Amino acid sequence: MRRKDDEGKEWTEDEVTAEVIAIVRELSPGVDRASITAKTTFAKLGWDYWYRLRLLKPVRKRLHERLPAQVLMDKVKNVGKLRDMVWALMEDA
Amino acid sequence: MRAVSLALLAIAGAAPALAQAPSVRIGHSYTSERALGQPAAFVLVAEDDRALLTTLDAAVVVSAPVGNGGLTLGARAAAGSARAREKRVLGALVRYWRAAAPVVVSIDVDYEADGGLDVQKGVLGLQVTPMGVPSLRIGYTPGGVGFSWRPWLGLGYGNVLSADASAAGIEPDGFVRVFGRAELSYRRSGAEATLEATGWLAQGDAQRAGYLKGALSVPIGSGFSIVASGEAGRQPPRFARGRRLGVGLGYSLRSE
Repeated sequence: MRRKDDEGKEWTEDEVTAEVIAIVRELSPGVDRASITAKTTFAKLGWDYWYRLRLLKPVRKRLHERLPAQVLMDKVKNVGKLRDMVWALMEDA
Repeated sequence: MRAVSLALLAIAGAAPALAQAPSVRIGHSYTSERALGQPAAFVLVAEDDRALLTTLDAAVVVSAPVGNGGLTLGARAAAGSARAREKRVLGALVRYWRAAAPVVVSIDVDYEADGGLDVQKGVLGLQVTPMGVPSLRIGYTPGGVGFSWRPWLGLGYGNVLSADASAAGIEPDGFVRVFGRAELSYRRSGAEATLEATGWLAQGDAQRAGYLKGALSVPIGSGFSIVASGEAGRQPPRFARGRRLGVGLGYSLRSE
């Protein structure tokens, strides 16, 4: 199954997962990159409440989706839920 | 009074947004994220030669998405028999925050009162903090173990809604405050120690005031924690000097 982002680019769920993990890894210097998976929580990575907002820009630039900021901070606790949110924002191709 | 009231009405205009997916949190205070992250605490206090007394520090916050940010409604109390009535603080808050990379901007209307409601103030405030700077450990601790912090810089304009004779000169009506706040935390093995340090430059008798609040919590399950907490300094609305240490039971809630 493929979905389209806001600029019409098509993605598989695996591709979205890989891109989300890549973004999270870049925002987590000093953390073993291989240890970051879909199950990794932002608290375990050492992100505080507001730090999660740093996801907005790379997700907009690379996955072409705008995350709802308050929902991101209150409801998205781990990398997998972030992937789910981005995937849900995309439209069926 | 008029400026604060109008701002409150403007922010409250967005209140219908709370109908969509609000989240509820219960914590120590809404003055900072780390304070809200600490459990609401019921603490037994041994102070000088007095009998065993209590303190209660609690806040409840409801937030919902609005645009590229969120709307927050909150209420807080720093009360209990260990605090003299004039040193108790009651508050309510309406806040709109917005992500404006690389910072977060927050506009809030804060109602603050002492325990007897003898001094009541309304404050329209603007605050800003960076989203996060890993190299400076702002908002980020590699691997979630160790030290991180977050600075806030703020400006407030307020009105004295009521004041008794003894508090008349603390701040004039139509006052302006500048403040800086640093939230610090240290995490290890599931326990978290936090410190919130706030400094105000205010008008009237308050002038320069500082307030330190710290807590160490160790989770014991189901949202409950053992909490050691302390506070020292002067804080609004009365800027009365206080200092206290205690150990007690804490509870925190964060709805998903």
